[in-house]
Amino acid sequence: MGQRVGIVAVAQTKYEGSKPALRLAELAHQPVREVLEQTGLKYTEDGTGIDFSICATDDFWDAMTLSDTPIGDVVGAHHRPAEKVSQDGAQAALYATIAILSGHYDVALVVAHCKESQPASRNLITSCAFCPVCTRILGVDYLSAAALQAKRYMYKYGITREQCAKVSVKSYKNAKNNPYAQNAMALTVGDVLSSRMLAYPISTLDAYPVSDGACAMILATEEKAKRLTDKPVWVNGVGNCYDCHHLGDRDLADSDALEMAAKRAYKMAGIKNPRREIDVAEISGQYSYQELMWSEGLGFCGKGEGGKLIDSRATEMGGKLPINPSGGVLPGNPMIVAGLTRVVECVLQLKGEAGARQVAKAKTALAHGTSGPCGQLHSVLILGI
Amino acid sequence: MARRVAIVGIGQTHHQAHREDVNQVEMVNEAVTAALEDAQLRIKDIDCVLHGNMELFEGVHQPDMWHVDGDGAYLKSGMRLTTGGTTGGTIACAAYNHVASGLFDTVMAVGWEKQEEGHTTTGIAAMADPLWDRRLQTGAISGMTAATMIRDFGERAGEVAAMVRIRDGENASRNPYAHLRNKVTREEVMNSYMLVHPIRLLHMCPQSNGACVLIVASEEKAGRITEKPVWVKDHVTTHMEAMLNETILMRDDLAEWASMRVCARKLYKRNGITNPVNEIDLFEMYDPMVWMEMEWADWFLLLERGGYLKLVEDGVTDRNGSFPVNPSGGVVTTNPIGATALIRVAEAALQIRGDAGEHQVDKEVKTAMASAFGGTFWTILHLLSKERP
Amino acid sequence: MAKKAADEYLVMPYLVSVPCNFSAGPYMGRLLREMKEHKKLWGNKCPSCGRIMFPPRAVCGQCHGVEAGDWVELSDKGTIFAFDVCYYPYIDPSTGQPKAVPWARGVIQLDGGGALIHFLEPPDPDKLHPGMKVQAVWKEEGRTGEMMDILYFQPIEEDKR
Repeated sequence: MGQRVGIVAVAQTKYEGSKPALRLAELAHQPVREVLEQTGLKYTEDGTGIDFSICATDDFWDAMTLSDTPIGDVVGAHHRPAEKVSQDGAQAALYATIAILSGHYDVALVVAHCKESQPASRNLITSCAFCPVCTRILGVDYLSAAALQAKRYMYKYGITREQCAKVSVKSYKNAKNNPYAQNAMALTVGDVLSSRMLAYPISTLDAYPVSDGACAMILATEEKAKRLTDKPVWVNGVGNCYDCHHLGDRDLADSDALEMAAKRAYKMAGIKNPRREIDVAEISGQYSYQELMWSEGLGFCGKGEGGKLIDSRATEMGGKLPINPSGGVLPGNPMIVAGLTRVVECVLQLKGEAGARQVAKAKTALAHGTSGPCGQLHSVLILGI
Repeated sequence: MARRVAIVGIGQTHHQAHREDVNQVEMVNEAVTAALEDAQLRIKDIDCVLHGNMELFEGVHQPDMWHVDGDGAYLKSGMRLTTGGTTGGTIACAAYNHVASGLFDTVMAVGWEKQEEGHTTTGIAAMADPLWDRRLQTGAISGMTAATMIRDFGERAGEVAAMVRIRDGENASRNPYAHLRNKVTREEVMNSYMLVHPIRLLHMCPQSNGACVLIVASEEKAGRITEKPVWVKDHVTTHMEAMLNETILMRDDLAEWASMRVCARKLYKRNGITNPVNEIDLFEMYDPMVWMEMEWADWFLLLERGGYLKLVEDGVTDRNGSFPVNPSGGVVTTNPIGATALIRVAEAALQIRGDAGEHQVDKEVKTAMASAFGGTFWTILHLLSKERP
Repeated sequence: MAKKAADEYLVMPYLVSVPCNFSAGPYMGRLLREMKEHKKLWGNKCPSCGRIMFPPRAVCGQCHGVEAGDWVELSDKGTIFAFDVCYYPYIDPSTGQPKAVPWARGVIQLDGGGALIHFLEPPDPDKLHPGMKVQAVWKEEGRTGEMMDILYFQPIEEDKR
């Protein structure tokens, strides 16, 4: 306690629509192997290596009860502590931070993996997240729920489809600079608006495609982080928060839970004016409207001003607060992994290792993940150097 | 050193075979309400809600989302950790870690399972590799441990198995929250329905519907909440490689190799314990069937193979014995899987507090141990104490 | 709960069924192909601890992720280490159908190395015993590259306990 937690190594696979050549554990092994090579760390009990392994995995996606069982083999679980966070990967990074701050462990390995291509349809999976008695039987899944939210958000604040489409244009453009990105395209707003409609107002290019991938990182106490790398990235603030579940219980146009999560993270990090103090943000938007909504919840603009924010071009590369230089989730990032990928990308930004997608002189970054329907649970991490 | 953490609130449902009268959320809410009442707290006093169960049992994806209605997580921090049978232990560890980190003061851990809403053995069978042994599963009802006990101890093994079940039944009859509360006789055990040879119905845990909630708090808060904080001295988690579970039985060094002893040795070393049967007052052990208790207790307690059989025969593990095991009735009488490991911690805590009512053990309980089991032979151990560490 | 009370509550039956495509990967993939095409079992070795891993896999979990080394052809004959016989019908998660009972399975130590769990015939605790020598019975036709390409293991000799 009193010490900071540092991220000392990160790695990710290329995200692809399908990775048929690999089993799930083999997929997870790829970024794990890389972070082990980067740090030279081994799995030990004597405090000289990795103390604890956390897997972000989901039994439904993996079609396996205790889906972390096979992953255990690639994260040194044998005879050692290993854990499973069955939510978006940002929660796993959060838990690693908490576990290290607790003093119970010094060095933690975190890995997230998911193959959205494994089930016949990801809607079958996300539909099961709804109350079976009232909601699931209506055929609601995360896509149709998101469409409801998008419609409400646009109605309440006058956000237009064009403004949402600009998020897709920006995301796919940024992805060109990201060698791990699943897809990159030069799009126009017209391209997005005329793409096949999935669930109004979300069209194909407003939605993230089916995606497979994995990413991993190693976190450590301040003292060990400084020894493990020249450029530790500090976790200065964390926050998460649940909203209510039934879609009718809240005004879907606003995100109280995200505001709360952000507030907690900002308070811990000592951030008073996020618009000024955050240099770069990686936020998880599976559908284009979400980047606008989450920007509001994070305080990057006022309530209802998400459309104005994207119009202002402040969140583009070169703007005052670039959002998703990696391209974000929209070009392709699987559930469970997406939030952890955001942390990975922020770390690369702060270390100056983001290549063509680098935001100059980034010192403070925000990584965001979300779980549940319509952003029911949000996780925020503030990172800095 | 890290902040000290104490258990300040305990709540359970009355675990039963049938709870058609509630949905999952309502069932969880019963335990949450009970825990808050026990701690004399309101939901607004809780900073964070940790949630766990096995989602493929009830077929609800990320049920923590739906459950915010009942567990009070609305606008609160929280997360979901699920590790099968060890889930309850995992969320207890996480609750401790959350408070010890200094970021949270009062954290609630919610473990639950509504087993009637799915097929338990089907859910457990799905643990296995879909490309290899998923068709070869008997769920939790694996007969191989029992087979090796019978091979090594002959008829004595069956007799002790019955004794363990009789003891658990006796204890459960005194525990208002237990599922199977009827006392059983030797004949009933020996003649009960054969599930998977040689495991009989009464050797095996039931499928229960239930929830358990633990509230833990920082030392400072705990002092204001309760006069009887139960201190979480330590927790150790030990996993194993992914394997065809029963092949582990082939190892000559099984006693030292299985996670139970590895975990126990680590816990004992960290806490200066050399003779657990003498230095720990009570053990709430997660054994899905009596045969596993008979084998694993040797590993946990650093005994030679067969040493635990003698302890049972001598009445040492009875409620009024010198080393009571499962005074709650244990897993063999109550098993809502996502809650079960948390119930072990909760029951151990109740004993330390002296609040276990009719199933309170006779001796004074200063130190108690609780184990969790799941996965491919994973173990979590908690060490609780009456005195502040 | 009294039956009367239970009758008053609505219970909705619901089937969760998710068709999946599981990748076999290069290790499991090779095993399953060899089973299908050649009726052979293959494992691989850990270069660190030397053990034979079956089914074959990418890394040795016991050695915390050491990448697997050589492939080893395994025998399809072995010895029963332990077995159990299931009388309790439950729904197989791979098929959605209840399994026919009784059925038996055993931990089988393969001659020369490697161990697996597989079905045993006959499913009768009086006709099986630890130490019994057993042999795989393969599907002669219609093998598809899955565990069930071996139908079961059966005793080589009539060897009653």
